[in-house]
Amino acid sequence: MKKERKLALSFRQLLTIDKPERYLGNEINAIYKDADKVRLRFALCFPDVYEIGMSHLGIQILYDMFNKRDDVWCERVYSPWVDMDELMRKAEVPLFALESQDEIRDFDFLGITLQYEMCYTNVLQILDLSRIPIYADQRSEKDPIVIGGGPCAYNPEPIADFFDLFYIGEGEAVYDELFNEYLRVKESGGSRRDFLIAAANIEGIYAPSLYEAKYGLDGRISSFSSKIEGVPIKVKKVIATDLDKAPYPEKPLVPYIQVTQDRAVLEVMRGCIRGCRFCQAGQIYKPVRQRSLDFLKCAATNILDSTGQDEITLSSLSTSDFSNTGELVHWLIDNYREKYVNISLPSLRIDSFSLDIMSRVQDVKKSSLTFACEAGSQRLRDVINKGITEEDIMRGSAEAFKGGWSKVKLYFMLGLPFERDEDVLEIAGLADRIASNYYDTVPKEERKGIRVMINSSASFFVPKPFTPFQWAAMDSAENFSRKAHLVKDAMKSKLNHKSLTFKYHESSVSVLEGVLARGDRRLSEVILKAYKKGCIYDAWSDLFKGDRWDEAFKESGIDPAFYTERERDWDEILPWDFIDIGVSREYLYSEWKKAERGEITENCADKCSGCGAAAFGCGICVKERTISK
Amino acid sequence: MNETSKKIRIKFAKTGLMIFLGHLDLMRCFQKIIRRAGIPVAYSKGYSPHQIMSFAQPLGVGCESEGEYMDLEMEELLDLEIIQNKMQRECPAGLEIKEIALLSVPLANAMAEVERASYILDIPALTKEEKLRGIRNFELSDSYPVTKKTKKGTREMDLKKFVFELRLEQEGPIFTVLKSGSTDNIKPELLLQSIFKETFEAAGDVGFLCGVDYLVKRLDLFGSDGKALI
Ligand code: SF4
Ligand code: SF4
Repeated sequence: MKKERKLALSFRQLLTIDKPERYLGNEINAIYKDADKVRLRFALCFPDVYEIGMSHLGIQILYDMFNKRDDVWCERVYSPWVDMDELMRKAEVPLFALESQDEIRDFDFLGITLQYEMCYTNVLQILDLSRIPIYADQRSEKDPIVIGGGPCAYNPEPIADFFDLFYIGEGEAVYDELFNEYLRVKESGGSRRDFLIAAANIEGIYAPSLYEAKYGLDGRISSFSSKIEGVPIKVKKVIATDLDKAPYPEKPLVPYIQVTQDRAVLEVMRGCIRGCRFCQAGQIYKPVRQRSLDFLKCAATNILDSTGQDEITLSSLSTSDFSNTGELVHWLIDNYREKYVNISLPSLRIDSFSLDIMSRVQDVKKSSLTFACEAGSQRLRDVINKGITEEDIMRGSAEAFKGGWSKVKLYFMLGLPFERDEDVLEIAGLADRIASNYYDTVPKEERKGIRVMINSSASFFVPKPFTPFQWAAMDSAENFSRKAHLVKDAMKSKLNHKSLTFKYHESSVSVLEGVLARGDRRLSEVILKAYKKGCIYDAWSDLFKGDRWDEAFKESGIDPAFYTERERDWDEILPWDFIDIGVSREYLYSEWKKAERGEITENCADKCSGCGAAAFGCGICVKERTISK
Repeated sequence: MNETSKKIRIKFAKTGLMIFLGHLDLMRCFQKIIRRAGIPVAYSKGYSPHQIMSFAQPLGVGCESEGEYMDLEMEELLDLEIIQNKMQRECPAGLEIKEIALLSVPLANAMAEVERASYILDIPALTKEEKLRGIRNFELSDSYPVTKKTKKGTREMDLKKFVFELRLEQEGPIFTVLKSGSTDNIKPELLLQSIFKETFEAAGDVGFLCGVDYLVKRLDLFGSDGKALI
């Protein structure tokens, strides 16, 4: 950054908005190239505010990986916050990429990561502010190729009309190939459509305009097929089979403003061995693959050196299941404690092993323990295959209380399939028993006047594609509220009610999430209508405008309940059935039936259940199983 | 000769895009610069240790400065030039380490020492005559009552007592030396808004940074002895 960089906005304009640092693109480790000397320009977008987007590891991985290619310059863009949105429209400044401050519409690609359904109106804001036609079929030869990825790309149908391509799987796998194809077509004078067809033939790439969905009179999909001969009917997920060989950002970006995750991140493994039946991540990231200790030690050193971060976190879906957590944490303590680096350990299951590690790296008195119980009764925990028993919880909390902890957080879901009122009431029962457990475990003289606090919270269960519950009916908002009140009232009557708190989330956002998660192509109209009515930042509860969404559904003649409250059967064509995640539909269906019977399934470390992901030939599926308890 | 300490004082410039960094962001930025540079700085004791650093009279967002100061306590003292080079290498564009000095005991805190600050100010929309008129009016008046916004509300004060120098430079900008520090600190904006009141009122606003394009650049900070902090 030797010479002065130009900015898309004047200093004066920037000084009138909140946190102008969001829009400068001058972060430590940002990458600048000569735009004239690269062959492909990629704008990488996280469609939410900067502080959220900058905290996302996936963006850092792709940014690093794309920029390792000399012929590619990848830059970033995040959703302008509402004040900036207003300023840009008023001043007629089109959306720009942070590093070069050049307009997005002049890029070759606009890649948008789709981490949650509630970002869909933000996607439209990005396109709109960039002045790229919202509907893909209205784009011209010079518009960027708009490509989506991330977990919501596993059912891309509700937003299929807005995208040219979707990338199904992990970025490390075929982006190189996709870029090469793009350059080949572009430099040989091919058209946008030529490229889309070529791309659709790359494994993992879905070009929605080349496919067609038809609907029956009952509103269900009657057929889904490719419109062009040779374009594959199924789109197969692609993954990085060996994480030690996949690139990892050793010089991640360091923001100036405080972002949500302001620390160095070590992704220790991908995937999860536990097949909780409500969990999409557990299925779509299969199979579990670990990084080696050597790789992680080396990455940790380089990241801390290049960023100056004073905190490092181990990241994965379930860090307790990583074989080398203990050794890695001890290595970090030995090497970085004296350099004042904090170590943070989210997603640990509470047992004596993890409590020991946690007590070494954090202030026990201040921190609280988290149990993701998800359901109050053992019966319902078996239904959802949450492999945690009441015994585990009691043993873990007793150990923790002995170790000095006195604050416990419990996470639950309400509205789970096959849930009965007695399961719901058990949320209060379990919380109360944990509180009693404290008094049974910690003698009076050691309590020092501290009251144990058991803080429970419940979210509204949303059935997701590629889970055994993809066929399930979602509960109604009314029933959710009724159940939440059942819990609240039950807590009040408990022995330890003074130690119990209970919170639950807004239900209207969850209902919309339920519609979008399992929606089809007909929803694009609703999303665009809602956006035009002013819906944006729907993931932010204070900005969520439920009434405008209701209007948008009504005006489009679409009943949200068709998507949420209806149980599907085996024969129904689900909008995402054309995607192959490696886990078979049969397996998911058998899990759905086992849920109904309350039968549990072993986790991948204990026993392979033959889900189909072994076809990837990597990770835990090909390892000899060491049974660890 | 005074006994030396392990405390150093760093003078730095904050220009370009760095003017957008608020005080906390700047502090975090320096903490990371220091870590990347591998400088053996001292940390506080306790459960969440932090680097022992303090800044003198933080500057408002949007202002440039050629003379900012930060005190840093070292765990182990290195050659000052080495510290300067190591830190400069890790600085983003817009931060420049200008000078480093060793502080002698008895130690004063950078913040507490500040008494005056010099600035270059400008309102490009004004003609030379308009600027001159504002300055002359100020000079000729015996007292210049202004209302200063404070945390608790507003306070009447005589600006004359707190403006030590005020003149128009050859090329057009204004040079001034104002009272600074923990008491009676005068923000340069207050001076501009007072002496060019009509201009700000004509722009429809008398608030901070509203309606009028203006430049503030701090040149240096001075102690009660009138000497720069290094
Ligand atoms: S432990 Fe269960 S909920 Fe958590 S990631 Fe694994 S499968 Fe999902
Ligand atoms: S194939 Fe077996 S080991 Fe592999 S993910 Fe599926 S159930 Fe687990």
